[in-house]
Amino acid sequence: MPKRNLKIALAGNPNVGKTTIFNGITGSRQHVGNWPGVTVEKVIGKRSYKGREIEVVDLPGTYSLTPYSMDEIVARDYILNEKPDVVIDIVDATNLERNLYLTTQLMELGVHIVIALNMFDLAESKGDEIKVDLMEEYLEIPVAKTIGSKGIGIKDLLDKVLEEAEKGPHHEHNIGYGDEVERSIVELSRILKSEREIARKYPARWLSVKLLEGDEDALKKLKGSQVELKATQYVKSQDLEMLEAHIADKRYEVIGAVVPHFCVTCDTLTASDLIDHVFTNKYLGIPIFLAMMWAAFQLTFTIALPFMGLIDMGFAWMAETVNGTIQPNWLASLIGDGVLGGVGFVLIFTPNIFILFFLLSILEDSGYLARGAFVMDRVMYKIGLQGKSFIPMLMGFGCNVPAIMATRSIDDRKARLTTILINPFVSCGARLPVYVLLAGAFFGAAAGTVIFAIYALGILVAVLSAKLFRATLFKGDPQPFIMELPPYRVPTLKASLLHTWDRGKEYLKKAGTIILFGAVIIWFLASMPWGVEYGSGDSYAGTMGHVLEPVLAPLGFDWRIAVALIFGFVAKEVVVGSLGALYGAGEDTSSLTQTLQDSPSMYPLNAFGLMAFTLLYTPCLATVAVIKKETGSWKLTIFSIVYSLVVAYSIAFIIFQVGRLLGFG
Amino acid sequence: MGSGDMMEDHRKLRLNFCFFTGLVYLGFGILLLLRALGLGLPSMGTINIESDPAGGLLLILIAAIFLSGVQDIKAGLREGVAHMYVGIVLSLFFAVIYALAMATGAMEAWLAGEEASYTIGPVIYLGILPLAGLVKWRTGFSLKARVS
Repeated sequence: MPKRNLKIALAGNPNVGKTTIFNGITGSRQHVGNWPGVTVEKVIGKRSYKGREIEVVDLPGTYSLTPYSMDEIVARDYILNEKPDVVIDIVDATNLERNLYLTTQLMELGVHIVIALNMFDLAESKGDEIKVDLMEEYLEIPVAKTIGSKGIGIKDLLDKVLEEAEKGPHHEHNIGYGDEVERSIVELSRILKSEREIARKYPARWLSVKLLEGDEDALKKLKGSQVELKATQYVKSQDLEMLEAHIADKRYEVIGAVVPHFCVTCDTLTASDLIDHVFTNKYLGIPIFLAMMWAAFQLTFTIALPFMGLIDMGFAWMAETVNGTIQPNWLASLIGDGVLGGVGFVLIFTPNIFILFFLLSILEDSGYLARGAFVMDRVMYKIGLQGKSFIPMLMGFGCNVPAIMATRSIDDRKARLTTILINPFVSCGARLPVYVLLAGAFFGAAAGTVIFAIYALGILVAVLSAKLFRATLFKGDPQPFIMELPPYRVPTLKASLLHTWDRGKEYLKKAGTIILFGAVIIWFLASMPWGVEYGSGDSYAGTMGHVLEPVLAPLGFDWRIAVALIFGFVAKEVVVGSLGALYGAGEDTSSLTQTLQDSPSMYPLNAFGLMAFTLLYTPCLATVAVIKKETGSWKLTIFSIVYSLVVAYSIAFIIFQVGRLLGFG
Repeated sequence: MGSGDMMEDHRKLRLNFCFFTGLVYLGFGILLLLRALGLGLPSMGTINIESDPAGGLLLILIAAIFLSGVQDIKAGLREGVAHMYVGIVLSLFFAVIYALAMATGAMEAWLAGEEASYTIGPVIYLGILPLAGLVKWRTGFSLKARVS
């Protein structure tokens, strides 16, 4: 009698070496396509082994079989519907605890499993001694040691697969979830078993657990059945959020209890885990994160001050030289007031930008920023987003353009569009010069804290806007997400400096291109028509500003600020250069600071309002372009521009008017 | 003295360190906040308590980290050592940030030809406590070692 062909599925967490095992089994006999109806890649390979034709399907890498993402739905549906003869569960031997979580879910499905204990050489090199025979005994699953990258252990794995495939019907392994949950499982199973078709298709206990976890895809499986109404009513009567957390905790509890039996040296708690016990603590995590961010902005402001002073002195010297040597006067004005004034005002803030990027690089390279995303996930979920949205928001502190492009990693379209629309409220590096200038001029020793408050305001507006968008434009619940926290590392100076340079050089490039161009245009508008005093109200710039002044007067802004804000649409740094030109500050920042302090039209209240307006109003040209590109919609792009203008105006209005009522103006 | 007794002494020392340091940071944090609210005694000036709400909140946060580790250390859990470790690192980190801010302020004044004036506040001088902890346990911070 010919031996029957086998169908095998490869399951496992992402980055456990699944592809190397797949290649080790199938060699070059592979076919790549897509899973029906979705864009998830489907890879199938074939192998002849000991007279059997084996079809191997590489399932998408997943951390669990709870369908939070398309990958997980695809993997689970394949196992449920196609019923492979054996599922090879590839487990990273260096991280047993996390990997066995998926194993517990496969066990509950009642499928034939063989574990490929991959990368066991790495586990051994870090001192872990895993006793395979005991692991097989405790899990009741055959285990084969493999090193996928070297093709080691593949034959042993295939032998165990053949052996497992020959075994009779498999019983599922049950995890005890505690008396209360078990009672619910029994009750729900009783309801489900009353319909034969459902009982035939899905293991009743497994489906009950899934329903109690609030698994919507599992609920869909009941659609049209006789038990749909009864089961749905029962599920709705339960506290699903609490149950989901409880069930996950129980699985980890079982893993934690079993692992020490076959690996006494496996330390389930690493040093990183212990540090995370504090950094990701439910109560301490967010305050620590805020303190770290505050420290970053404090340093950005204070450490940069002497360096800013040195650059300022350099520009003042250059301007003096230009004024004394270059003829005719208009050329001296163009170079002195236009180029050195406009670009100089922006370059003076280079130390702030580089220090901020350096600190963010250190936080990122040390692994702490990932913890930031983790602790913020709870907050993000509450506003209708997921932790994945926090990463583009963090990137927004550098520049909104790559940050908006980074939203591509968010699978949920509604969450992605929301993240794109709120990203411009995250204050990019280009806005920092405006804050440094105004906070330094009007808030003295509290400047660092004021700058931190402005960044916090941006985050608050982003959060509230997300909540609003998710309740109106993009209704629906967000998908929870699982993220892998990298171990903590001591960042290297070289890597941090390289990251800083990569990000910071864009600022310098901008200063030499778009800001230089903007500075010349401002110079032209502030000098024309011929003969008017540079930057006066009679110049073209002054005329423009006077037209807008009545609209901005309720915010405490005069015509000069109006003009600066118009030019800020090109690039936010230009606001500083424009203020310098229009307030007639000359070429150095210290004199601009002094001029602003001396000007009767500028004082702390409207300076704070101006910082808030600069933070929130229409994003720069490049950001608008990328919003159009990423949303593919003019409607949303125009909405983003109008919405941010309305928000900026409203908040600056509230700051100014309420501040005045309280006696600050 | 047996190794068990020594371990017990270590545990007690860590426990006392976390508790005492936590209380001190908490006390000074509250004083800084009181001063920021315009309350408090004039004699606070002698220990450089100035209006610094951000500093006050920082000290209270550090106190919370130390104090929340006390229970775990008492129970002999390694998580308690993690609290102590993170508390020490963060308190020194913020002390360095304050010191840097002070140094750059002095440098700026020097560049401007002015006389530098600075105050060594509690965020900096309290750093002596975690520093002592770091010196004491500089080689004992292997989180793999169980606190028994």
